[in-house]
Amino acid sequence: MPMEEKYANEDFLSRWLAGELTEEELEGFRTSDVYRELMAIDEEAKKLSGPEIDVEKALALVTDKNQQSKKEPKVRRLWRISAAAASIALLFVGYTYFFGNVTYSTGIGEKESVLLADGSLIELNANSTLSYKRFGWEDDRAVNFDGEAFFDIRSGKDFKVRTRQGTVSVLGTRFNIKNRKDLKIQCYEGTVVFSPLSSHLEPTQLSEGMEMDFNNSTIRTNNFTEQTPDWKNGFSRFSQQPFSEVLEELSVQFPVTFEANSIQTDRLFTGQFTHQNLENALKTTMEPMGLKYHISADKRIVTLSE
Amino acid sequence: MTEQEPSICEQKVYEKIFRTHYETVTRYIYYKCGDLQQAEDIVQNVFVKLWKLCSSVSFSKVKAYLYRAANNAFINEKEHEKIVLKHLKQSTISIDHESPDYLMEVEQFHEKLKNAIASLPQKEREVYLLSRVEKKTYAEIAEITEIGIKAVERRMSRALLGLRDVLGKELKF
Repeated sequence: MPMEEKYANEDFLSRWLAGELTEEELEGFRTSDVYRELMAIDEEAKKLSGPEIDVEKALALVTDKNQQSKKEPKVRRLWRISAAAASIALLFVGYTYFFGNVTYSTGIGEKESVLLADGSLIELNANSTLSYKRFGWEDDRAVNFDGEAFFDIRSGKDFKVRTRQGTVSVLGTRFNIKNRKDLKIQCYEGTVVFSPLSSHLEPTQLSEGMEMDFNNSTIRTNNFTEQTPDWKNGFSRFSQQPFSEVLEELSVQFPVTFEANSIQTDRLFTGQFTHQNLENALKTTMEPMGLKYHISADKRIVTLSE
Repeated sequence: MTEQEPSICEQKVYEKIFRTHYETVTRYIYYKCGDLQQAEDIVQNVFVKLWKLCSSVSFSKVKAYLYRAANNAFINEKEHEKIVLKHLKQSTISIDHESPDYLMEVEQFHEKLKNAIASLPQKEREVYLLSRVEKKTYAEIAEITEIGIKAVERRMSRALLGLRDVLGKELKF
């Protein structure tokens, strides 16, 4: 049937669906069997309804799944954060390990010996700090130092001890540095050179048996006779030194603080005290000065009176 | 334009999206595969994935995202040759004063119609059902299936022809 051919074809129907037919075409089409058939099918098709779907049940299912999987990304995210933190920490640790310093510190009343890579021995008195580069140290023998220590340096390249107040350079020698309030260097063997930080002062050279005091930017040199520093033998010796220095040294060797309100601490003291025992140390320092002392129950505070 | 879109990561927003789109997307997939259980599984998984990606999908694009993701998931699943649209039901119509004979005929015709729709090529079937059952406009269908309106009309006309080929002789006027 030509009519049928005309209507039952894809192009024509597409145009019909798109509303592109002319009035004439539309009229002709509406009277055709094709149209009636299509309409009848459509009529029934429109009565069909989609499947019944329980949305709320599905939502409950999905929410349940979401909550199960919800924990995962959180954990994973935490993982990432901790991984990042760990890497940074590792980098930091690695950095400080390779480029950082080795540090030795002694507390009140502590002593410690440090053997350096070149065989040099540094004996730290109480309340002192020594640090040096962990790697590449042998190319540049230098240590940073504060407090008091006895240095027994193997001969070799220049060895430097950097302090707050200047640098002590030696070749190979034995010497003691006391860098508390003032700086005191005693040379027991060989020669040492002290170069003050302040540039307008000349470097000072000390040979065996010479000692040097540096305070208020003046340098005094003297001779001394001991073979080893007294502190290494377990006591501190003073000769004609202000009593304040004695108190300071006492509080380096013993964990005490002094209450000396009414006491004149600029009087000079000559004598020594042991590092072994607080009672004895106080007895040997206070009695010659005519002072009374009282130790608090927790042995932290020593109160002085005339 | 600069107005802040609601975040899908918020449970309330997510649930609203679910209630709005779950059924229609599921039906769309059902019309493709003819297996309601499979369609529900596919779409539920799409929603689970949406929750995971909630921060990277924008609210205004979520509808397109859902249809596309469901369609992709459908394509990735094999085995959907045997189409039985058993969940397509007849809407309850006023049947009171129809003769039992007539009802029987209607019943049979519906069965044949369903079979005919089921045997249409998938692309024609989904367009046909979206239009006739879901009552969507050709523009809406074009948006869902991501093809042009012309192509929708072409598929539609092919579907009409296919159905007429099968059912035309059944009709008595």
